[in-house]
Amino acid sequence: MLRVENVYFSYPGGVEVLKGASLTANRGEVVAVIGPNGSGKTTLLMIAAGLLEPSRGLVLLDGKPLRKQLPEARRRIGLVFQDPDDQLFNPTVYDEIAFTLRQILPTKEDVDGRVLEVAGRFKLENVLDKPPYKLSIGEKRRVTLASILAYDPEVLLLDEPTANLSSRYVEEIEEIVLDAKKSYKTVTVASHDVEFIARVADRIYILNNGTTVGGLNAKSILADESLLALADMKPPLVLQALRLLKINLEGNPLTIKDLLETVEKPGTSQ
Amino acid sequence: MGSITSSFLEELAETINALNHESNSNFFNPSIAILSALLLTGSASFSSGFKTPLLILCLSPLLMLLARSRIYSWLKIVAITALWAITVSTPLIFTSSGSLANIALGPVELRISLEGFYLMATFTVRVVAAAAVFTAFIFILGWRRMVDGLRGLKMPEVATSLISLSIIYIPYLIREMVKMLSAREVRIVRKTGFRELWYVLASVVGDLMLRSYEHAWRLEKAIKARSINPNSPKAGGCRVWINDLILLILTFCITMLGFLSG
Repeated sequence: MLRVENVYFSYPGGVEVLKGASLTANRGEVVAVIGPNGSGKTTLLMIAAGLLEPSRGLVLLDGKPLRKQLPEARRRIGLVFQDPDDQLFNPTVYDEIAFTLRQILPTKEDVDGRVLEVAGRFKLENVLDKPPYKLSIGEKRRVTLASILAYDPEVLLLDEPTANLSSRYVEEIEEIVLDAKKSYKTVTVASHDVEFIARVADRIYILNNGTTVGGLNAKSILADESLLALADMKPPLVLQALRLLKINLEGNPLTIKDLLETVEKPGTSQ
Repeated sequence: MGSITSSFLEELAETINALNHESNSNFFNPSIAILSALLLTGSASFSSGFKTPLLILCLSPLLMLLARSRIYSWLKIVAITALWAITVSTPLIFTSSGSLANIALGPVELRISLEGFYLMATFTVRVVAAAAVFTAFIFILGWRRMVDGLRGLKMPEVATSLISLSIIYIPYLIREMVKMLSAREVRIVRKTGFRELWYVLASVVGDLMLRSYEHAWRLEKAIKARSINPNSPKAGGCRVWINDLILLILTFCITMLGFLSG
């Protein structure tokens, strides 16, 4: 379990980005962090990954301070950056996926085997020899995920995983996140994509003015316009449409799947 | 002008990238090849006579042919280097002291120094030989295998990692620069003079430095996030074949010859 407790952080120049932000992510759940641009979502994820040291506050991994567990704990935490170009630095896709594996697997054969397995899962077999910069944004995003999931971290931190992606790729990312959840991983997603969050998140934190609000059930937060306004967001389209049509459905469906399930349920009240 | 600059930068990025990715030649062991490249380039650069650089100059196309590398592209580079070396060293003919010959060109009389002519010729041969042999090895190895070679020579990991990242990121930053230029160019809506255009082009430099810094900051975090062992990954070992032994012997012979002949 990952816990960020009351962290403060300032970048050089004195801008205090985080002023007492907290976050708890448990095994087998997807936690979303939402907030306006520049609210410090990326900084919070970097702190949670042990890449930035907060001026105050604590980061705990399984109840112990993360700082004291580094660098070994990095194997347990995988961070996928918002911009794939910031993360991909190897000459080929193969090298990118193999980067961490070479540090933990004993032989080249083991590395080869694992790279091919992961490349197959992420449909990257045909681009293994290509330089990452020549790939499309969707492929780049898959490479960033493959390079992290290749070493099977227990905690997955995803920074805007659906940014600039077409709906087909968003579905793929969604599948990966839900798979990680099923395999009992701790997943934290920072995102602006309200539809994506509605489909994957169990709990949501809102980051506003450097502090976190919420940490409650995703449905209750996504249905609350005043809370979403703190993150410069609006409720999911399904909910907006139902409200415009003045239709009250039991359980506030947030996604099309939820809506169909609610409508098909016998005795649905309107 | 902006478009020409953009085209030039795109080509430059593509060339660096081609050197980075397209060589799959395993003709030489990278460590031995890089050692030979350094020794032969050094011998060519610091020799005083004609013999050593000429020998190295003859060896370079031979290496290119043996490794079946892209000789035409290599020849272009050698020709451009020769042209540049001749251009910059031509004044030596007229400015050096020593025995002089006078040539009358109509009303103008040129004083030509034979020693200056010799200096110009040796300088040109040295520059061309050094460039020819080093670019030959770059073409044969590719930059990635060159970095492998440096790792094999036990160069500090920090240095090889920096070279490796620079090689990858130079084309990336050049492309960033092209994007920035295009963004500026698209907003120039009237005919502008060279000076005005120059300001626009120059403004890219500051932005590029800022972006490079931010990019480097995030890249450092990305590498750190995936570095579990303090020891970075090592390059796989490469075998030494008869080609490598011949190259090594030849390199030592030429280096010794250069050293003995001063």
